[in-house]
Amino acid sequence: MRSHQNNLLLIEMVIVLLFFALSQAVVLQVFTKAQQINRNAEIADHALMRAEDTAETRAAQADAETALLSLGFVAQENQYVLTDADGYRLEAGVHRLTQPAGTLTTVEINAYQNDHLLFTLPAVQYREATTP
Amino acid sequence: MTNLRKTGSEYRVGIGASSVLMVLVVLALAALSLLSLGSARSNAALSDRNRTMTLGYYQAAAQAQQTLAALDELTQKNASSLTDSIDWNALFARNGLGNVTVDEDGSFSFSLDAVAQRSLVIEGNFMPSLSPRLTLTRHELVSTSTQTDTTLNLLEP
Repeated sequence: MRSHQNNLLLIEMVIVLLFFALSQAVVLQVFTKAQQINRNAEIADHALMRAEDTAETRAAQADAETALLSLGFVAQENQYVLTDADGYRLEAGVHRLTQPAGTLTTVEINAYQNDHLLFTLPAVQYREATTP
Repeated sequence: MTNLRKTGSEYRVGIGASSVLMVLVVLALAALSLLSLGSARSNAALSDRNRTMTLGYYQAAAQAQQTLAALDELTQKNASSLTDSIDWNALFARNGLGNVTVDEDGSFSFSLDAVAQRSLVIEGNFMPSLSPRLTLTRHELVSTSTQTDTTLNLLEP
């Protein structure tokens, strides 16, 4: 009788452990997915904050290139790149449209996470040409 | 050990106890993981909304600067030939700047959609013969929502 009970207990323990392992695999996947979603949102938030900072600094300074270099951007093939340790990369392209009345400077800031485009933030400023 | 059995004070794990414990632990972990996933999703949704609104503002601001550039270009070209605000308005309308309005008091204004029931309002002084020709006096993000506040003011007397 005692031996029969021990066998039953052993079988139950084995079944419990197997089911527990199976459910833990599912639960861990859910936790991992939640962590990944949080991480992506955090990276996108940081990238957006940095892009806003870049746009406002650019608006405060007369020269777009000087503003980008002062924020840590590095000039690479007609654009300025900032790679952050948080896991995102900002690429800024500067375009100027000069007309007799003034100059329209556009800084297009693209944010990437692992080569995936997160967003594009335009920072445009018009300056009227100074008349002597 | 023999004495313990005899006195009946030995504790043994009965059949079914481990199953009950496992069910409780699995349920608790499943609840926690689902709460964690729900929190992460709402956090991501908030982040998306914040991004949409921020980008909406910057796109409207960029469009405002482009409008100002086109406005200034037209103003400079026609400063000597036009004097009346009606003529200026007609000129701007013909050149795709129909949202810009020049008033008789020498001011101009226009507004642009900035996503999520908001618009960017631009106002300034319009002085074609002076330098600078355009001077901004207002650059404000305003809500265009017509929804009224229906909350009960329970704390107010």
